[in-house]
Amino acid sequence: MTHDSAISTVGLTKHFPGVAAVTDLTLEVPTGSIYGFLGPNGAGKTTTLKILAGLTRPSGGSASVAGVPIAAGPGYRQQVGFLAQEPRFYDWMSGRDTLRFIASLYPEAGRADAARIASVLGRVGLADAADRRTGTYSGGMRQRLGIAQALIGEPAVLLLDEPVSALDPIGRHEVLDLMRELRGEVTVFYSTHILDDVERVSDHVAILDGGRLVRSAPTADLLASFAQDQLRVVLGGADDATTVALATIPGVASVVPAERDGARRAYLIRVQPGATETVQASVMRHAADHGLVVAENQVIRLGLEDVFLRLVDSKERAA
Amino acid sequence: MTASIVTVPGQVTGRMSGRLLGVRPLLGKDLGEWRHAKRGWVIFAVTASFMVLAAANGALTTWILANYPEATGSAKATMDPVANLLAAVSSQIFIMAAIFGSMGVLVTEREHGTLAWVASKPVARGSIWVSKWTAAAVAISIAAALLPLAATVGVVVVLYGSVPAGLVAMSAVGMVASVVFFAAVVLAASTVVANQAAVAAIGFAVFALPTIIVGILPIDISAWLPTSIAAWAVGLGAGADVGFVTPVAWAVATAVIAAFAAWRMEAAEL
Repeated sequence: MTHDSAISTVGLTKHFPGVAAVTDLTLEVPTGSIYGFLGPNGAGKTTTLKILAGLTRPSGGSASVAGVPIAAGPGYRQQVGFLAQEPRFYDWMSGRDTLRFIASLYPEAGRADAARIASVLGRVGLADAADRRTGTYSGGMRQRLGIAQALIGEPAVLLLDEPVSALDPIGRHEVLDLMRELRGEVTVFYSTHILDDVERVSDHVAILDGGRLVRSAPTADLLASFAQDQLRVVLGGADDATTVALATIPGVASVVPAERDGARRAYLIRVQPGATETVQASVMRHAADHGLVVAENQVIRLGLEDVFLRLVDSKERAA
Repeated sequence: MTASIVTVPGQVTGRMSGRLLGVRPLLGKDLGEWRHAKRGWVIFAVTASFMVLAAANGALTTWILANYPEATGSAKATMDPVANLLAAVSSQIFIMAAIFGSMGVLVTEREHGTLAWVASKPVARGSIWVSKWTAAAVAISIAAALLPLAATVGVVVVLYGSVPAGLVAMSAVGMVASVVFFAAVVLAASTVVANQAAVAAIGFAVFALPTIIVGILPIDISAWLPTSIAAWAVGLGAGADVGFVTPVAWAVATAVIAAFAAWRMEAAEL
């Protein structure tokens, strides 16, 4: 069976006494994507992941993975491979024992096969440490073993809760590389608050704040949609009247004077959606008509952090 | 949500619907954990020492009375092998071992996060509890009942003479049944309260309260109490007419506790 959405949630809600952890979350996660689930602390990311892992029951709404609803119990959990925020394993087991144990929980023959276990250990870079007790593993090794144990059951979706937040830069790099390698092979749905990592790895992103979905989109589209509406313009020979003149250009939402360097002045111009090119052309015309020298007239490239802060900030202001 | 999304593949759910799904590999892991841990040896050392000393008390007291008659006051001693064996068994140290030995089994896993990790796999929550209960019952029965009893019988035979095999066998049955029951009580308590002290308190309450209640009530209900299973088994081994109310009460109570614990596990938010 094929599904367009690896994960589908409709109105997913989880309220604890006095706390609305997740409210009315509707999400479609495309099959094969690496989906970043962004939000500040307390946004409801872990609760959502726990619901999707079958560890917590929702108060309302529904969710399914690869077409199997969470209410299917153990049958549903065969579809997901879950890695908790700070994974702990049985210290007395080696990495290989851990995978053998987890593989034995899946009824399909072959998942506990020694060759497959060795292959998965090799894939996550733990072949040399496979027979060491997990109690001796570093944080990065534990995370990689966590991904290996999540993969061993051949799930449709990997659910990773903050997989890199507790790691040093080297460990982070290793785990992010591993996640990148899984693109197209398995859907990866992971929570994080490290925006730089999302930008580097995720092809889709959803932003959660206060338990509610703020925005979900392909990462490139989300960044482009915000980049398109802001221009940086630097004009030689500009004066105080230039600010007012720029603000009257059709399609301009606002003009904020930025730095000043002798006769050159910089402006940040917010434009209305879809008016970027028109405004750029109008700026050129205005400069030509008024004898100004255009040193810069370009779309500002925003990072995910700017977009995230802007989205969360505007939501809070609206609230 | 579309119709295709809510469709449950029959192959998956049909195979996955068992209440004890995954219990075999889980039991293998839990027994492996007991084998690797030191606590089994500690339980054996403490329980065996206590029971052996209790059994040797008659010989020790007799020796003291013979060698230091002025220092012993009103101390009395018997060299009867059955009486000294029963003195060791009736100490019920194995019940305390069952409570202490199993009070951290589920609580620690929850604290470490391994319980949620395992529960995220395609296993029934009830299987997790049943495997922990079975493994704890097996390990503690060996470490706190069978091996200490074997050591005690050896000491009794050396110091006092032989004991009836039926009495030894039924003592073993009673001790194991008590361990099974109290492991169930403690592990069921672990599904309700989240720290080891509270779990142990519940275990000791179940251990001590029946004795207090029996002492208060005008009629003797001790035969109806599942906690009387060791006394019942020893009585049967000694040839007394003990009836079959106690093992039925033990079986029913244990089954009810196990069902309650499995239900609590299913409902737990991990």
